[in-house]
Amino acid sequence: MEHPAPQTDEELMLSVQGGDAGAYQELFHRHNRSVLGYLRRRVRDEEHASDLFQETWLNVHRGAHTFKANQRFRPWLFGIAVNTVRDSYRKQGRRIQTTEMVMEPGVPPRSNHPTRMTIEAAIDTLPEHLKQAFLLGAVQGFNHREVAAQLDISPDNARARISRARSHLRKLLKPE
Amino acid sequence: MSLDPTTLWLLGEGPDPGDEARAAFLEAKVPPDLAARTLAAMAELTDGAGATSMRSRLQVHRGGRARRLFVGGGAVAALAAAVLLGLPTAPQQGDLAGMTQRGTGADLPALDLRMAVRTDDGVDRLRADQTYGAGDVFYFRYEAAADGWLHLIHATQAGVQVLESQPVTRGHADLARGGEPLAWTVDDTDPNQAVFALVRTVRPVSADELSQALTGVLDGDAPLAPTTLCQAATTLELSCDAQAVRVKR
Repeated sequence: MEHPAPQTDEELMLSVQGGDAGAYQELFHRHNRSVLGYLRRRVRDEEHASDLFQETWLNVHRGAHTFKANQRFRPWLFGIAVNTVRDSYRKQGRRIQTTEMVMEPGVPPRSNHPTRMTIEAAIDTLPEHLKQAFLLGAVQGFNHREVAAQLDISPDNARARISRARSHLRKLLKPE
Repeated sequence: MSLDPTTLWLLGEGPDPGDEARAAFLEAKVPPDLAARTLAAMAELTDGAGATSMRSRLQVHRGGRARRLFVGGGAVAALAAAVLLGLPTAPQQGDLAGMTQRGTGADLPALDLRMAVRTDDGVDRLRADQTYGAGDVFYFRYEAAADGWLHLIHATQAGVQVLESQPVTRGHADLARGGEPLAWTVDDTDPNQAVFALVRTVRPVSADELSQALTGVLDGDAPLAPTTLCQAATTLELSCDAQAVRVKR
């Protein structure tokens, strides 16, 4: 017996727009782990990440009508996650740190770190604007145009941020 | 010292490390309660009126007396949960043949109901060939092969009643509310024979809708048994598992 091909994310999203709760559940099942993985890296607070996770999926539902038939679902989903984090900081009256460096690029802490840093720890040293671009572009695999749309910056700027993030990480992860 | 393939990939210096390694880095395991909360919140958005009416039914009285499905607490509930955790999926010796219906729907996701009982002798798995009495307490555990809504049903010759409905993710857990296992206390109004069943729906449905649908397809002439109840559910293309209980009056 032939089984029908699984529906694509985009097909499921169109079903969600038609009120199909089962399609929403299937999308949730496919992407919930990667969304939570992104949010945990983004905010580094498990409880806050859980709140954002729930809010992100509710926003997917609330904003389902904004999804267009020619869009890709994953970039759209993560765009919602990015905005949910941004709104959360805004509501809390906290400004997302975009310029201050926890550790200045070009000054890897070699003398204080006899063993190599893990990639996780190194990502945490990235300034916020580089971290955002790196998590979306390098970790989640979105292209420059998609990252640009998610962060509301130009594609060139997205490319530059990802490149600078990688350069920063190399200095930490590959001393000598 | 060389970097691992995942790190090299993230730095743009190596190939994709493969699905497994990539997923291990990208993904985080979502706690079942977080997933359930999220799906429940979504369901409220989708079908606010239905979900609300279903919740309010949890407090209705049955036959003019307080419902005996309550949230168990403390050490006893923990003990019951431990017993349920240890229960084998397959029926053990002592189960009456044919008393437990386990998903006859060919293409339906598997669903498994396990029950424990607390009696004066302690906590043990529920046995279909044993008779229970007033004061004994039943606990429920599920194992579901797919996300969805689970409905705990109590069926007697008098009818079918939905006791509890809640969204779940695939996996196994105690049927619980607020982190505490749900429990049913036997009293002297229980009929001699009853069936507890778990039925899964893809989306939330109201208790009335579900009980009416099941009643509509139940064979009224057939004796009440897990098999007949689950056959009715399967007719509606719903996963089902059920257990019979005998009560001494």
